[in-house]
Parts: sequence; structure tokens; C-alpha cells
Amino acid sequence: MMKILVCLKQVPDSESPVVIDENTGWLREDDLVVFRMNRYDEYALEEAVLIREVRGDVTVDVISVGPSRVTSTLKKGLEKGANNGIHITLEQQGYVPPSLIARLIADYAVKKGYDLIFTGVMAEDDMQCQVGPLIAARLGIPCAASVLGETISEDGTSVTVECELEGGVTETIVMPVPSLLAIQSGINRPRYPSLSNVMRAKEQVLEVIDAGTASAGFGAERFVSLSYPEITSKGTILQGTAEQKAEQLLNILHEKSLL
Amino acid sequence: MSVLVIIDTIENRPSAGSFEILTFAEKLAAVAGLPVRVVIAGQEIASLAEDAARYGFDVTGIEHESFRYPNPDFTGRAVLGLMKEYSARYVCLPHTMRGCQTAAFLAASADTHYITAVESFAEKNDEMSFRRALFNGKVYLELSPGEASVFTVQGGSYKAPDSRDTPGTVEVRALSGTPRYRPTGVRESEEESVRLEESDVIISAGRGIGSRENLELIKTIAKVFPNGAVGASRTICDQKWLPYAHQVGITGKTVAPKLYMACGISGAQQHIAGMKGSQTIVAINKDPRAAIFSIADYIIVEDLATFLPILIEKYAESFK
Ligand SMILES: Cc1cc2nc3c(=O)[nH]c(=O)nc-3n(C[C@H](O)[C@H](O)[C@H](O)COP(=O)(O)OP(=O)(O)OC[C@H]3O[C@@H](n4cnc5c(N)ncnc54)[C@H](O)[C@@H]3O)c2cc1C
Repeated sequence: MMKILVCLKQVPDSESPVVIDENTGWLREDDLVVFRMNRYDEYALEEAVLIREVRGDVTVDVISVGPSRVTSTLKKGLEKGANNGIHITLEQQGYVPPSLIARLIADYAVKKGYDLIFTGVMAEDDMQCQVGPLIAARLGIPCAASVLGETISEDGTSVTVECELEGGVTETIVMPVPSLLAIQSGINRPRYPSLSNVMRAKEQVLEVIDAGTASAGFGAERFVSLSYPEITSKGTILQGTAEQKAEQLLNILHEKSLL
Repeated sequence: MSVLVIIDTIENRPSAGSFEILTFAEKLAAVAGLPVRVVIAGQEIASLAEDAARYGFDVTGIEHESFRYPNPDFTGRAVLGLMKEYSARYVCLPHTMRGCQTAAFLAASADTHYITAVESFAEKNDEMSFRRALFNGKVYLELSPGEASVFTVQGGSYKAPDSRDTPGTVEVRALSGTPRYRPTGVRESEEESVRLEESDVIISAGRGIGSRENLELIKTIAKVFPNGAVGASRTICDQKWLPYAHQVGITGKTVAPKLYMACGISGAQQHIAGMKGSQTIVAINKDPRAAIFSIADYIIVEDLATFLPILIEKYAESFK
């Protein structure tokens, strides 16, 4: 039996307003901010579910660290086919160091003997690309990042992965099991939840683990500030109605002999 | 103590922009009052190590058969020893996926702090503060590391330094040991008929076009130009709306056309890296704070669903 752990992060939707709260110095979380699953993690979860569909004897667990709102993302994970959901509750506001998240997940995973751990290649919000490789380092297992495909050997002792480098180049790597794979977008087409899984997810109880005071005394880089980027553009802002902007643009392109 | 720079190679060649981080390291070293040392990993690395030494820093080349193809895990293991040997306070790597892997291994193993995708840093009230983007550049986060830290540096943030009259020293070492996993080769993605690099005009679609149907609008506009082509952000290719041959950015094509029109593209660093050399950049986005506007020559804040049809109509009225 093969056990796969998929790490899910809940992130604000990219269409939600990104506003710095003057009181906390961190991002504002109000009714206008819609939270959902990190898209890269959706690909990671789908890949795990596809492996189960092919091999049969596989369980897929999803895990997320965060405040109570992340239960909706874990439920979504169950709806999309995960077998079990684990919520590590961490109420900490503001900047949460990726190394802390990685430690909490690694501390959980080390007891469970997972064969494969999947993460997304990065989180859409803070774009750190840290949690996956840090979990691997903490567990002392190898890691492959930006994975665009994987084949598990029949006996389940090795996995051959395609990793994306830059400029359209991919690298093939033969990894031992257990390993951690950080999954890149485009590897598959994440499915929509099936009705039966939606029903099951409603009933299913998440395993809840309290991270408690894990963050107290945790040594990590210190949050200094959030700020909006200076508008450094030397660009010309076209003004007026949409029609006027279209006309201006066409004239500019014409003057530049592009049209 | 020292500032260590780690550069890896594919078939003994460094990836584009690797030497940019020397400038970051040099600035950091100047503030911290420390020397810079460069470590280059490869299969046969002597001549590249000589090359790197031209910038004036001492270079340690580490050679192993398995460094023919990137092996971030093995690189991390090798560098961990060097970190101790050179009492590295700061370690700098390029912000590539494999750079991040090696960096994470080093930070976790040496128990240092870790900050990724750094674009710049400043000293404020006796504290070093490192700046990096969140949400594809909508806001910036500043972090202050402790005594020791590992950094990955966002490509394009610094320019490679000029070479110096007195080169640094070069030492090449053969590594022993067996890697934990085995890269077996690299391959380039199959080229399709799209020749983005040769187009004079690229009209690029991002998630903001909203639906697959709206790609037709993008195609219509591209056809207006004599040597026009359709480009895309990764998002569009991931959704299989267009083949990856259309993708612009670090994991796609690097282009520099006469005109690049970004439609509904937020301006993630990974995208900008592939098109910032374009002669004229027009960006259309409904979000006035979209990061793409910071490199645009012409800024149009509009909803594409309404604006593109108007643009096509106006063109038909006045130019056909
Ligand atoms: C390892 C790695 C490599 C990557 N390589 C690349 C790469 O090579 N190329 C690349 O492009 N990306 C790459 N990415 C992804 C990159 O980080 C971004 O996620 C991606 O570029 C975002 O695409 P987008 O701008 O289309 O979508 P989004 O970031 O979602 O932006 C959509 C934009 O459309 C605007 N918009 C929405 N609706 C409308 C409307 N109706 N009218 C007008 N505007 C609208 C929004 O305001 C927003 O700015 C890579 C990521 C990783 C982790």
C-alpha cells in the first residue's frame, strides 16, 4: 500500500483586493477577500489522485497549516478525491515563516511513513518556493522541484520524474522512494469535485492537530514591512473613454510605423 | 567569515544570468565587511572557473560526474561542507527552481534563515532588510535575516559585474561520494511551427482574457500586423488554450519584438524575464496596480472583454 501526502495552502484569490491594513501592517482580511486552494497545489492533488486511480492501492492524505478558515480548502481537497484531511491549526496572524510551516508538516509526516509527499511548486500569494524543499530537508529525503510528470516503478521503490528547468528544457531524474515532489502547473487538468465526493466530504471529520505555541521562540527571518511598489513606470497612461484609448493606441502604433 | 555564491551548470554551462548574483553578493559583502567566494559545480569545470575568476573573486570549482546535469540535492551536500570550511555567513544562489532546492537544503541543514526571490536590499537602522515581491508584484515584503542566511536572488535584479584586472584564485576539487538520486539527461521541448522569436509584433494573452473564445480576438489583432504572432503567459498554456510553444517567460521563450502587447497579464517576474527587452510594450489590464504597467511604455486600464472588440472595430474603421 502506498501513502501519499499532499500539502495544500489556502491563498487569497488573485482577483481579491490586496490591501495593506494600516493597523496591523499586514494584509487586510475582510469580506472582500475570497480564499481558495493554491492553484499549484490543485495540480499536486490531482496528480496524487491520478496515481491512486492507476495503482489502486494508494491513500491520499491532504494537510494544511493555518487558522480555521483553511478547513474549507481541506474539504475541497476531499471533494477532489483525497481520502483524509489533516488540519494543523495555527492562528498566528501576519507573516508566518515558511520554515515554520515546513517544520510542522515534517513533524507530522515523520510519524506516518509516507512514500511520496507532494507540494505545489510555489504558493501564488507569497511566492517563496520554500515549503516543499524545506520539508524534504527536514525529513532527510530527496526532493525534485517543478515536476511535469512522474512514473512510479511497479514495485514502488523508485520514481522517475521529469523536472522543468528554464527555457523549455526538462531533466529526467530517477528518485528513490520516499521522496518529495514539488509539482508544476500544467502537469494535468485538475478535476471538478464529483457529487459523491462532495457528499462524503460533508460528513468526513478532519484530523485536527493544534500547533499551539509552535511559533513562540521559533527562530526565523523577521518581518519588517509590507509596501506597495513605487510607480516607477515611465509609461504613458492613455486617458479617456475606451474608444478614445483605442484610437490613441492605433495612432501611436501608426506613428511608430508598426501599422 | 564570508559571502558564498553558488552557481550550478547544465553540461558545464551556467544558466543565463548566473553571474548577476555576483553583484548582489559583492554589495552584501561590502556592507557586511566580508570577502566573496564563488563555488561552481559541474562535471568538468576548470575553464568556467577561470572565467568566473575574471570578476575578481576567488573561485572553488567542484567536479563530479553526476554534476553533468543539475543535481540540486548533491550540490547542497557538497556545499554544506564548503559553508563550514569558508565560515559562510551568507549564501547566495540564483532564484531558479533548483537554486531554491539547494538553498532550502542548506538553510535547513545549517539552521540559518532563508529568504527567496530577493530583488534588492537596504540597510535601515543598523538592520539589513531584503525586498521581495508578493502576489506577482502587487505588494512587496521586506524581511530581516538573523546572523546567517541563505538567499535566492531573482533573475534580472542585478547586472553581472565588469571583469577586473586582477582575477581571483581558482581551485578545482574532485568530489567523491554517491548522489542520492540520478539525473539521466536533459532534453529540449520539441519546437513547433511557432517562431515567436522571429516575430516583429507579439500580441500576448494572459488569464485576464477570461475565456478561450476571447483568444480569437487576440488572434485577430495579431493578424493585423505583417509579422505578428500570438504569445501567452504560462497560465494560458497550462489550461491548454495554446501550445507551450507560445509561452513567453523563463520557462518559455525569450523575445524582444518591436511591439509586445500584454493583454490581461499581471506581470509576474517569470513572465517579464522573457519580454522586458521588447522595443515598445503596451499593457492592457483592468487593474491599475498590475505589475506589468511598471515596464509598459503605454498603459491602458480597461476591461479586455469590452476593449478588444472596440480596438478591432476602430482599426477596421480607420485602417482597412
Ligand atoms: C517555476 C515557474 C516558472 C514559471 N514560468 C513562467 C513563464 O515562463 N511564463 C509565464 O508567463 N509565467 C510563468 N510562471 C507563472 C507566473 O508566476 C504567473 O503565475 C503567470 O505568469 C501569471 O499569468 P497571467 O498573468 O496570465 O495570470 P494572472 O497572474 O492571474 O493575471 C491575470 C491578469 O489579468 C487581469 N485581468 C483579469 N480580468 C481582466 C479583464 N477582464 N480585463 C483586463 N484585465 C483583466 C488581472 O488584473 C491580472 O493582472 C512560472 C511560475 C513558476 C513557479
